[in-house]
Amino acid sequence: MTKFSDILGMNARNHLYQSKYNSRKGKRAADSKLVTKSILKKAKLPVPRLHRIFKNERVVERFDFTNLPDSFVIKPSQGLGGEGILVVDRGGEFAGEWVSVDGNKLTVNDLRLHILDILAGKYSMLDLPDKAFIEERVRVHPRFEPISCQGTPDVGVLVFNKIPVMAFLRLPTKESHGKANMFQGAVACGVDMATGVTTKAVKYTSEVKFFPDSRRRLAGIHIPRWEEVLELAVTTAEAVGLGYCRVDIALQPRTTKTGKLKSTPMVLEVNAQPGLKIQLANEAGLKRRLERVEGLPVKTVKQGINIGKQLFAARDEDESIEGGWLNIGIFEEVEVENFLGEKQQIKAKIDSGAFRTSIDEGLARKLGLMDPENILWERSYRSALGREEREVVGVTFYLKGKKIKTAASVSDRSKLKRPMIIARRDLLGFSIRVKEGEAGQEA
Amino acid sequence: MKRIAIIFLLLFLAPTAVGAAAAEATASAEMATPAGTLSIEAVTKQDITERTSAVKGRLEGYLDEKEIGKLSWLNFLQQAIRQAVDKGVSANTIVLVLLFPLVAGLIAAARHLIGLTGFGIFVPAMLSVAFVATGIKVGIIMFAVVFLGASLARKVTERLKLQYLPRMALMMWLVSAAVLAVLLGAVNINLGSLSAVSIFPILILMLLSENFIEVQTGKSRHEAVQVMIQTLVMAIIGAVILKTNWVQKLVLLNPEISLLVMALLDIYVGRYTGLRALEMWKFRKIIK
Repeated sequence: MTKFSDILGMNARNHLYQSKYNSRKGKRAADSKLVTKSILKKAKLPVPRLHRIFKNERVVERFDFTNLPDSFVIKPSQGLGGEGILVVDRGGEFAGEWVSVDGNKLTVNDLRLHILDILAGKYSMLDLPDKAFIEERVRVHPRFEPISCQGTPDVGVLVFNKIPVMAFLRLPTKESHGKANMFQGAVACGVDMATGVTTKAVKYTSEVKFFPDSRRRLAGIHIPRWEEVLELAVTTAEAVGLGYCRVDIALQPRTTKTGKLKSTPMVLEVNAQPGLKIQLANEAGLKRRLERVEGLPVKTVKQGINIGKQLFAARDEDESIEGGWLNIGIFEEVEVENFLGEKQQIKAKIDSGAFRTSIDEGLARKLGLMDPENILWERSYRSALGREEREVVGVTFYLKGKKIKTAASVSDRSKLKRPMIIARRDLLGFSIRVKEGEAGQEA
Repeated sequence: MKRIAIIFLLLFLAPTAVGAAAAEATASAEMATPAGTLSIEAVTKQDITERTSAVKGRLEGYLDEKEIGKLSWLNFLQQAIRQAVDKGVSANTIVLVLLFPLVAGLIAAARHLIGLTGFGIFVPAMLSVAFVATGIKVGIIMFAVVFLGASLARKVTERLKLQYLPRMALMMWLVSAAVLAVLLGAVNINLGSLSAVSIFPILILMLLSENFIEVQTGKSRHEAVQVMIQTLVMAIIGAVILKTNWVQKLVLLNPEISLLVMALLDIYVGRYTGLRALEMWKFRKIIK
């Protein structure tokens, strides 16, 4: 399927894309994290909060480090390959002491020395004197907790011509010392553009199935807020003025007042000459993808995202092929598994107003779902007929080929045409469209 | 900044150094020929002072062998070279200058067609000239000394927690000490050729040691080792080309064509947008 001519090499990247589509101004902005940050801030795009910039040594001497929060990151503005980034995990035993993510104790003097190193140009691209800054630390999203070590995973989205073309999820490992850089031993997972689900993973150049430090599976992980991640990537590329770049985004998890988890995608940095290993992680050629969208007139961000999703869906599931959403009507046929696991065609109605899927008692009995082993719990309903006791049973069914395992309440629908109602709890990822004919149809 | 500094240094040293390099190249060439009993001084002195002497260098001999006709656009460079050599310019210098773009072009091709990373074009090209000046074997020994010295120095200075530039200076101090030790020690262990090395190649190696250290700090160990090996291989190939007799003869006798070919090679390499050989190897797994 993939041919050598589909793969983007260094020569083609530099010659055909990077130098052609990236303005000098954009490149300069991408080279400096601080400039990127200020441009994005002006454009009202989310970036980690900046605590302090160090432009020269005098500022370092004067700065009161004890006012810093317990957790923060020190970064060089023009660092290369994640070098020179110091991640402080928590406060130490005494004031003016911290602990880094790899467990080293840090004093104010250690921090000062590190910043002075950065200013002297130890980590900068051409040994030139650099600026340092301290910013908010993006924590590890709970969904990535089992598949990352020390550092924060990030999602790299390659954007070309306002279209997200390819993406990968980079997971820091023990071997990479918590850094999300592939050449240091981080794991990179290919991502299905349509759904934001990881497909396969590589470490260095060879495929891995499980995360090395926790032995968790790497395929099938759903990146939270995928739609927002794509949108942020495309708007960032636009704001910085780069036609061909990779935007690195991390998800900052937050708990809201009600205790719910909410995450904000934040731009960590923009790379004007993105690496090519993203192709290994996705097992796909980038050149072919770039050629397909080169010169396409893209009017809005949304359109660009939709083009990317439609063209570069990677998984075989209908959900992925249709661009992240499965279109259904009001009246659908579903396949319900009976107690032996055999599928049976059942007529169902889609009702986004109802919360829990319900199934006819007679049908449930016929399918063997009323087996005491399969009854999950009983609950009383308040309905038009007063209080009723209803069983809730486990059901597995297929809607448009997507397997849904859920709990359905049992009710008497024997007088109705459709013995099953699929409710909104089981409709995540579906898009309901009333088809012609359905609008006037009663049941 | 550092590169500019090195280039300035080269501008100062180049005339003497390339002279020395050329002289040594001649010397080694002379060794190879049956009549190779002349010492370095003898050759250079004869070249400079007695232009009409019967004893001529190997390269000058090549020039005499080939008849060239009247001045035309096909042989204007050959005419000019002959004239310059007759007036005392060393043919060795001319050959080195003619071959340097070839080495640079080959390094560029190694990068863009094969995919060797190395340290850009500057370090391997400098190294190969240094290797020509010292001889490849001695050059590699010096390289190893400087490299090991630099690595050791990095380990030592890491613990001292110094600021960047003083730390670099201290590393230079340690590298210099290592080189000095080898120079002084070589006399005792009968490696005379080591102590006869001129300052120019030593300086190049020592200045490059900063790059060697940088690649160790900036990249993973695996990558640092790869970069070093690739650079070394490129430098050795470059040095071998600079020293090969028939290549020297070819460019000296056909300077117009060879310069044109080198330029065309550079343009081809610059326009090539296909995959590099090593990239093909890297991506072989996703080819179906």
